[in-house]
Amino acid sequence: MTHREFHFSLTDTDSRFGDKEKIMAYKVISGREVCGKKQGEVLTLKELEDAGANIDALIVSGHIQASQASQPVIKPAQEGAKN
Amino acid sequence: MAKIVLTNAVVTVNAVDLSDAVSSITLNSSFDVVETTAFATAAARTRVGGLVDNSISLEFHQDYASGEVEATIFPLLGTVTTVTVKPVSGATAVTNPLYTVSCLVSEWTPLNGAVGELATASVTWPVSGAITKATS
Repeated sequence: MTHREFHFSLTDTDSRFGDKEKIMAYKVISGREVCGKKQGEVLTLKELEDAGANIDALIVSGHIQASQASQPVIKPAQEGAKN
Repeated sequence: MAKIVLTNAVVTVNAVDLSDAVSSITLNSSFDVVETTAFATAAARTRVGGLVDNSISLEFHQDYASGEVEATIFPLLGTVTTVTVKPVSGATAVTNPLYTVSCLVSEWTPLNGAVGELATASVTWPVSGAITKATS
């Protein structure tokens, strides 16, 4: 019987400990500048926090979305891997 | 510093640049006047400044598209958000100061206007705290 083992590698912290996933980067998707960044450019969490931005409101209003770069990366381990 | 006619002032609400949807800005700061007149003050009233009360008034051109004016403001109703204003687009400087305030988004008019008129929204939001002025 083949033993399969999966390893989950997360780029963000906290999520393994039950907290809400902390997204570290956001992409500007609206036609308006957000924190001085234009559509398609990436904002860091720190830039948004430094600007005093309400991130939830920016997402709801269609200005930003979580950047792909900050999504969790799930890597399946090779088959037959040993502990 | 030369006299200035406002043509390209900058307004951000919750870090979003809404300058091209704003037609009027008033950043107001007013101190309570606390009287200190007493006997032996040469028959003239004396006063000191009390608490400061700041507010900002903006007139928006309404737009309901995603990422535009209404979508930006509506989720902020009832919350404190950061608003910045600057007289001229460009680098912040002594001659082009950047004012930053935390405003309570206490009012909003999602729909306003008469037939044939531009849909607008005029707000006056009280500031929570002081006005911060940056010159660099």
